[in-house]
Amino acid sequence: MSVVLMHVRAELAGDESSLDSMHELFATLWDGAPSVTTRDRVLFSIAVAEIAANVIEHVLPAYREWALDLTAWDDHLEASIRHPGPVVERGMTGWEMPGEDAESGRGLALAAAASSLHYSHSTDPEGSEWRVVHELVS
Amino acid sequence: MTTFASTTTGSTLVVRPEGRLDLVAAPELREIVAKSIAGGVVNVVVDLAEVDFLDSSGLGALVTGLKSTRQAGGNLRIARAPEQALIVLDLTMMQQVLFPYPSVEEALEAP
Repeated sequence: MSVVLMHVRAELAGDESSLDSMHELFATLWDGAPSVTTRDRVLFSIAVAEIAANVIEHVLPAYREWALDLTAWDDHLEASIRHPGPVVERGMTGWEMPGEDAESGRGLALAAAASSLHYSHSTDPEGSEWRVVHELVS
Repeated sequence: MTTFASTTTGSTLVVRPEGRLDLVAAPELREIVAKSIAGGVVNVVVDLAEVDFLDSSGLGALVTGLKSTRQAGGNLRIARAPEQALIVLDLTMMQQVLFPYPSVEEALEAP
């Protein structure tokens, strides 16, 4: 049975300044889960940050806030990113890594390469949830 | 907030971002490289030693710089990438395109 080492949560503004808050949340999470290795921290935070950036860039201009939950368990790391609005078309597909000349479009592919990525959408109330799960091997 | 320090060494601009090279900072790096090319300095080294977080937007700005410097007859190289940036390069399979030189000097001297 998994044990929670640390859980942090924040309601964040729908603009780029919330990325600062997100990185502060990461720091708090690692303070409460010092056994998580640097590589696991990096892979998980890359995945979460890419989803957050994607949401801020493409979804939130029409909305005002998003919510972030980060949990460090003793055997995995988990994030929930929730935001209002209609279904994100690229949530279901389009996670392929673009070619080396591409100047954009790597975000979701990078997130999926770093950790397990799950997307769901509900119409009641209308909104989306991205879940990032990163298993801790050691 | 990310800051950018720039110095010109010979015919090469060395850019040293400090902080996150992400969605917020990527446009400034693109602008710095574009201005360098417009000023006739078409070789650029981006020293990543003080970058504590590289995301796909920052990587995209490096690709933009690589393409635009090459189109101008120069090149863009990266140096002293921290572990986090190396993992991003690995996951995106970009290490062959943006080879991470261990030092600025080696990036400057690369053929």
